[in-house]
Amino acid sequence: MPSYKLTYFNVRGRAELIRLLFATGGIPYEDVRIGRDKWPELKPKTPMGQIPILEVDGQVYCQSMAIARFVAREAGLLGESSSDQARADMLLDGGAEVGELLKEVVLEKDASKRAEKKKEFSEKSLPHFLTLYEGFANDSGHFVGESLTWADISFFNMMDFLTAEFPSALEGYDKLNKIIENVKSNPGIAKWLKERPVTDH
Amino acid sequence: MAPKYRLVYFNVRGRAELTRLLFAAAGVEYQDERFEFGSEQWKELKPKTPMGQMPLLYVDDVTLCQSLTIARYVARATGLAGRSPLDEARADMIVDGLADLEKKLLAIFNEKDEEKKGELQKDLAGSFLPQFLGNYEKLASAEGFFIGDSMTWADIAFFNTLGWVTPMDPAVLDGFNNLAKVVDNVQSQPGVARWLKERPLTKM
Repeated sequence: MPSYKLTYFNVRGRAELIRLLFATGGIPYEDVRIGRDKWPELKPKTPMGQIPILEVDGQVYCQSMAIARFVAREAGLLGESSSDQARADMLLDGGAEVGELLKEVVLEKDASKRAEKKKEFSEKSLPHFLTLYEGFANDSGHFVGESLTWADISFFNMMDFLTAEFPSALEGYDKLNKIIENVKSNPGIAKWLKERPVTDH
Repeated sequence: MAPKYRLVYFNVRGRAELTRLLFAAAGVEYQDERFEFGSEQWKELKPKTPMGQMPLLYVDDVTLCQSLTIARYVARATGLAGRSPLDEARADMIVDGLADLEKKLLAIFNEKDEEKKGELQKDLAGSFLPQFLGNYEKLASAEGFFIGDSMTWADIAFFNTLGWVTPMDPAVLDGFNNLAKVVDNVQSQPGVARWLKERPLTKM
């Protein structure tokens, strides 16, 4: 079995999807979390000056989605057919777009601008996204086929961040709530959610 | 039976060109449907699409959106994605990293204020690009491939993105020999070379 070493800051951030996927697949890995003071020393040793990075038997990979896709494949969560896999990719990419908008809200320093952005997001972008994705979900609470894929897990992870700002966002979205339930009740994930370090983001 | 591909986008290179280049490199036929900006056809089609966006790829009974999803799907289907899971991860990493450069290019392109535009271009050329290309130079081999010893969509994606930089800065790859070889390999690949000659000339 190859050795996997994930390095990131001690937050969920751009590594959490990867951690969730390792957990779902029951794949052991080293979950290295560095302090911000250690980063300047590590940065030039990374392929693109960024983390997370995943080291697999000494080879270093960066870009969180590239890493996540690799781990999803190893964990059997990519989707079965090539069109299933593309559907998962597509839903993830669409989610990432909204994730970027959410980030803009959260990172806005100016209080009045932040309130404005938050209002716009919660009244337009967010309902639009959730309605669209409610339509993508099937009755059994999956985005792709009839079983758990990384599309479901990624959505769960995104909602984890989103509900911190917008606690009642998922009210009324029955199929999306089913997806969240399916993810949370996966044994590997349930265990990780209990054990993972609690961080503010 | 070979799948039928229909790619739908505006009449620009933009977010569809990588996929067009992949089809060209693989010698795979597809319908290259283009709408003009503000066209009635797009207005009519938009609500029938998965996310109200283009590009779109129609393959048999599957409809895909999201440009990188489409490109990755075509890369996989045509054997250009990488030959193992780790190779695919490496290719994904290279392609995803290009998005940082593309974001900066888009900001420059969209900037209407000439002074601000000049500032952004200076920052790109003076600080972002040397660092970015320095990283990518190390990831490319002397033979001009990002993954192993043969062309993958990572090489083609790099070539495509660089095509938006070279008009601003033709000598941008001076000193980056591996990257220059990547570009050379891609543009001299027969399918790509033919496409570069034949493709519609558009501003972006």
